[in-house]
Amino acid sequence: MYALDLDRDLAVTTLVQLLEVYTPPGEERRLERTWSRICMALGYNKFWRDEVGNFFASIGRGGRAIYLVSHVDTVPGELRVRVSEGKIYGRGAVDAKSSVASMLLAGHILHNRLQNSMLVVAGLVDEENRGRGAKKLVDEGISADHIIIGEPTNLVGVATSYRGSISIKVRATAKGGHSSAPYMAESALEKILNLWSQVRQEYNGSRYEEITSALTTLHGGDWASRLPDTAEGTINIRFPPPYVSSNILEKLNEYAARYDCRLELLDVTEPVSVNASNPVVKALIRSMLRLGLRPKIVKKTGTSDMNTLYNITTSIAACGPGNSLLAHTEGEFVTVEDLLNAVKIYAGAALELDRLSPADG
Amino acid sequence: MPELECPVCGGRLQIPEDSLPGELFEHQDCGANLEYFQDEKGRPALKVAEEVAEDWGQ
Repeated sequence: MYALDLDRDLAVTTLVQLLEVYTPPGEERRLERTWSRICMALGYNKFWRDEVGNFFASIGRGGRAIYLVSHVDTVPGELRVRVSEGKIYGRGAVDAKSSVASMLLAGHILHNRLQNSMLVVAGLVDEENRGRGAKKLVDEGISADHIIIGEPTNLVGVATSYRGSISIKVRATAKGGHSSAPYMAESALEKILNLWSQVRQEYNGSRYEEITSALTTLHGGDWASRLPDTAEGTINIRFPPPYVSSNILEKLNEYAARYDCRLELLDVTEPVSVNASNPVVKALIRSMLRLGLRPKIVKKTGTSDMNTLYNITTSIAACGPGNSLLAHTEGEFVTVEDLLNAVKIYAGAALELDRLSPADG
Repeated sequence: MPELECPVCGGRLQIPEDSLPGELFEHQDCGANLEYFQDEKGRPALKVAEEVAEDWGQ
């Protein structure tokens, strides 16, 4: 149907340039010069940033809009960038700068190939934190017919479902007291632990379909013989569709009242699940099959910008190079072969979407 | 557009002419996820798709 040729050195150089700029959440602006340099080298004549700092590049002028969306921030923890034995190492090599590089390269090889669509590559900010970048696109009301999310799915995974997430800060105060007579004293730390015990009992799932909970921070006490009069912790709850945050929050508030704790909602992300027959899923699968790969539908236990961008279009799915088990670890790397295949997958899928009849798309 | 038999409910399912072996389809009548393939004689057919896999992390 089509040949998609790509220069190996250009692909490696593009990813290495992105990796060499360390961009934890809040520091994405460091990438500005590199983004411009890459876009010019790849032949993009339009590239820009928006008010929250999201990066964009586009080709084509068609009436439909196909968005290739990933994120340019990484979890904190700088890693040395190197290329060795067909592997590219560095912070973000998996999550998700290899997706960003592949998407930019896909736009490069699609120059003058799209007949009906404009292709926009977006490198969003703050995905590893509060997702400000994705929320900006929804608030702005961008018009996108199809969105491919670039997140690590071991290349051949097509993610159609992500769980939701609730993060809450828990605080407690108590009268404290001497540990020699704890029956006459009161511990703020124990109040939080009692609440946590109840939450853990209620949400003790161990697989995708179940609600899971984790106590992620806990602070309280400063002396071995003194019961703490203040304490605080953080709890993270993950929940699949069809659960919604409101029911869980209602229960958490009930427990907080029972154990005399105060809750502060830090972040809520609703779960997302899309039809496996939607145009983007079909386009990605067909693109992989044309490359001789064996695609599989996956559901993710985490969250991504897809949870937010689903509000723009339901023709959406996530797919990207890199072993998802290496994301956020010290051992992040992606193989050059996966990088090259990802470029072809994205480009092939964009061509499939471009050629859909308006009724299908 | 070929019409094939759903291996789950026995109903009929229309598949686009340009379908590729390995492509997935949902049978609207019974909800089954099906994979298009060609049997040993090269005839188009459908089988139940592999179960959806769970993937850790973002």
